[in-house]
Amino acid sequence: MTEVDVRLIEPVLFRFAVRATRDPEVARDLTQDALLAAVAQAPQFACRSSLKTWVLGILVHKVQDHFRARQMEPLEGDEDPALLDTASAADVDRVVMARQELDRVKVALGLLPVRERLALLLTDVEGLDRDEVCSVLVVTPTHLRTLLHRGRNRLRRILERD
Amino acid sequence: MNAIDRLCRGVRPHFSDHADGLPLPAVAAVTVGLHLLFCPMCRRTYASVRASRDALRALGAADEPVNPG
Repeated sequence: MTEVDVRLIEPVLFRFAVRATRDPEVARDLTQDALLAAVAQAPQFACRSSLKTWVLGILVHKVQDHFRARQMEPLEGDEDPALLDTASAADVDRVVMARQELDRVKVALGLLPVRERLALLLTDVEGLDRDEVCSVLVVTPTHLRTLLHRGRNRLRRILERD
Repeated sequence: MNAIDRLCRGVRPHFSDHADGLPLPAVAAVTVGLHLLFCPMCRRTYASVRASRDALRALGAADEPVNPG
């Protein structure tokens, strides 16, 4: 794992960690821990998955360890990065509405049980294929299907309730 | 639990795969398709599954800038 690999993958990991923990400070620490572990374990990386999937797997374990150790549900922080460049008033309205919807989804994600949240983040947000997600979460395809079904339903109920 | 409830419970675990376009076992594919035609509750549940998935994909597509520091 080279310095270039780290530079490329670090923002991906950090964004995932922020979405999983809702806490940028914790996310920063977990990202660093995952990268250090990846560098240390690099000789064991067997190229059976992509580098991104492999390091995401390490990060997922760090996130789960974090919640397990703290025995807490994630806090609700709020980062607010610019979504798009805007050109007109109509564009501004559209962008504001899109940002509000994305913020609602992020908050709702933070309310899900950790395993469902991680399954949705890996499958729907990061776009990993099902086999990769099963390998990262160490679950069977049937269990993943259940996590996705419950998570998506629960997410929708939270969004509709607000 | 009546027969309709049993049918609903039987098809709902397949909704995520169906929504993602993954192949279902042949019998399940037919059962899910037919059930969605006739069961308004399951149609709503299926629409919820799809809406959640679409919202999450939009989150991934937004690809917000990050600064890990």
